[in-house]
Amino acid sequence: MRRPREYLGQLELMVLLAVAHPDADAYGVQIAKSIEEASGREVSLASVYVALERLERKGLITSTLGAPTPQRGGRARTYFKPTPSGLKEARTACSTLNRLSRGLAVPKGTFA
Amino acid sequence: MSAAERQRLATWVLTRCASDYERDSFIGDLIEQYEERGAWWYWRQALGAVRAHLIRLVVTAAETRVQATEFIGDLIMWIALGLCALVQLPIYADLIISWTPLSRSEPKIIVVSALIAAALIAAATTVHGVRARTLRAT
Repeated sequence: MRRPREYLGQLELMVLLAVAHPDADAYGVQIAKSIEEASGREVSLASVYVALERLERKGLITSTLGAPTPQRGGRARTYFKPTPSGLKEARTACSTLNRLSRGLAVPKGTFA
Repeated sequence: MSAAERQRLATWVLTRCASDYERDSFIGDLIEQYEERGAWWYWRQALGAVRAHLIRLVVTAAETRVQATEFIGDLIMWIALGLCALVQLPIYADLIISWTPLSRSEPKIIVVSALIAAALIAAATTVHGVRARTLRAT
């Protein structure tokens, strides 16, 4: 039986947008920092990796391994980038959110 | 325990109890941020990764309806690994890890292990009871 297409979770969408950012050097720490800066809330690195795994399984991002460095205990960075369907999914999700939030009353002082 | 030892212990827990997905990169990210964020952050992230992996195991077990024996086997391993991590016994942890594939290929081993554990508890209780009665008598 075919399963209906899944919606992206909130963190998945944030991670996908952070990965899709053209200026981003998208690896775990950088993605977590981008989300923290944008949302003003701390995000667990483990949650970011869980979201990355889901996105990669859905075919929305791909990963490549960098070179190992001594600063990382000899471990390499994994860099992520969006696939064309990932970019399309991010655009669709954002425009859906925009349409849904149109006319939403925002309390004064929310966005200082 | 020094800060470096605590970090090594957290890394050891991660190598055994976190998801396989990009595990090395994840640990590398933690090491990279260690200087900036400190040991407390490092441990929180490590425990977060273990918790995320446990949740996923439970969800996957529920979704795929894996055999109950396999799930119970994994659960026993996780509890035992957690206890080993607490008292820092890497050797026992390695033994437990090698036991897991065996329990998967031969589910009966879980029943046998449970029976042995029950027998050991019963034996220990009996010995303790007899000893207490003997001491009271003398």
